[in-house]
Amino acid sequence: MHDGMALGRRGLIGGAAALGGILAAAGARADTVTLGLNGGPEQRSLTSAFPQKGSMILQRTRPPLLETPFEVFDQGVFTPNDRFFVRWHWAVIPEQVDLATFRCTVRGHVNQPQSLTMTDILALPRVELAAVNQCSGNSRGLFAPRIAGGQWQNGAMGNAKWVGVRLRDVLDRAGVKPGAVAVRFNGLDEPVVAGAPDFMKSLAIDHARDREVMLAYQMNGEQLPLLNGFPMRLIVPGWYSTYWVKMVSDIEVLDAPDDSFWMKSAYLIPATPHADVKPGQTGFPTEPINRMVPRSFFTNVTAATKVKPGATVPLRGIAMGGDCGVAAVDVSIDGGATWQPAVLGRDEGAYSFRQWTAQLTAPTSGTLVALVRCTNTKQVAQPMEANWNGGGFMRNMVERVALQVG
Amino acid sequence: MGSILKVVAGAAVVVVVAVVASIGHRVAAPPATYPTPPYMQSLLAKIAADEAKAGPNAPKAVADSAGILLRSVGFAFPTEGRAFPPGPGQDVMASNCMSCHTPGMILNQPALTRAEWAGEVSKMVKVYHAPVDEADIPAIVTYLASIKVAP
Repeated sequence: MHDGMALGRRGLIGGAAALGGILAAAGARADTVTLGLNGGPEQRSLTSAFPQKGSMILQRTRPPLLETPFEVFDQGVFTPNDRFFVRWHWAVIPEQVDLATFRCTVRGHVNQPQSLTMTDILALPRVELAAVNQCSGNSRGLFAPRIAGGQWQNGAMGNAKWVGVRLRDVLDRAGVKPGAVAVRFNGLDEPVVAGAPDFMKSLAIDHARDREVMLAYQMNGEQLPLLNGFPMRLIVPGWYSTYWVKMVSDIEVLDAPDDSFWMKSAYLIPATPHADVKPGQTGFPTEPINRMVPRSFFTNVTAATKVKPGATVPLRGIAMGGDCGVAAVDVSIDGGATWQPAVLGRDEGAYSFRQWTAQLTAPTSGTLVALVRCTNTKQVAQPMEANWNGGGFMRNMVERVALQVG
Repeated sequence: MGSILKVVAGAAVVVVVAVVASIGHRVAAPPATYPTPPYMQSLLAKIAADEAKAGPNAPKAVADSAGILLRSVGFAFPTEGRAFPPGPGQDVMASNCMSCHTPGMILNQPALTRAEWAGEVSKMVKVYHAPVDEADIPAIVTYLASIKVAP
């Protein structure tokens, strides 16, 4: 009945073959990965059992939580669709979407409610944007003290070239009435249990009509994988992924603020600098999570990397500005006392990942501890210290790697 | 401000509406081409006039007007290969805690305190309407607080 029994409804042959990674014993095998989460458990299976997905870190089977193995980010600034992370809240997710019957309604505080086919959507002017999609709780597994929830390392993010239509144009087809204050989005997924809060998110009306928010039906030149929101998902450039509603099938213009669960009670952050509070602290104001913050990562080295004494060490990585572009990436080998600029790669747009490269000289012995820091075009730089909040949201501290010399 | 962008209006639109014949197979019907519908002409004109107001970071109009094909899809999702490890309460976990998610979600959590686990169970029941038998809650919390969270 429940699919927690090792063999579910797919039956013996298909299930066992597809789930070889899941069934594998823990250990230093190629089909597991160690995430470096303080206090564990840090072993995860790698799985290729999900449709349209290559090898992914299995965080949860149902509803799927699939993390991008970090080495993928060294291959370029765009994350391949079959390696792009997956995150769903509720387990009732359509396993098939038929475009003959699919409709997206636009309703609520509008002049002419719409029921749009994908043909209607495709007929609207087409726009393209490179943008990072990052889970609010990306890197939650690295928080100290640890927090319940999806135990992601740093791979709950991805960058894609999105093609679709402006949300503004879709809203204008219905004609937004004066007095509208927000637009709420719902997808085809549903809660398992009746009465549980359906996953919906909303944007303020001005944000929804800002000419940047999109409904995307293509990702890196192909239709979206089902698990990334086929046939179309919301793209909210510079904002966390919780707003990027997948399989969008209902757009409701509201004439009052959205007080539904996923806006009012979930995905709240402390309204403090860096969304940072002390564990156990109470009494602080909260607000819905919103704009992303700058981050940068090493992609070509890890703690397992060995370098020769005195050698020139080429470093490479990716950076994102968050809600704006990358102004600079700097590296440090003295704990942040001094910084040297990295060379930035091609600019794919303000909301995209940007590659960086730098060269450091290894000491004659010991370890080479390198830091990387992104400063965005609003002159916001990554902080040296980790933030903490009860949701495990918005981690963006300066990243550090210790390379073994010898 | 950013450059004035050319709007691709009236692009031929190609949609493939496919019938999903069976799970795991995708069948595409022959493509059908549609002209821009008449009801959209005035909207497109309005959008073109609007275009110049977009900021420098706004999505850019796609340069080519090639048709885009979308195909209906159908797949089966894989099932879980992990089960709750043996121990007092294992049966209670199996009967209460797998409607909404598979065991791996719990097994991948850090070792929380009993109070934290009690809070998580309470949240699942009260906020997410998990179909948990109230009489089983103490046994669930005890199990969660006692399991060695194996990698």
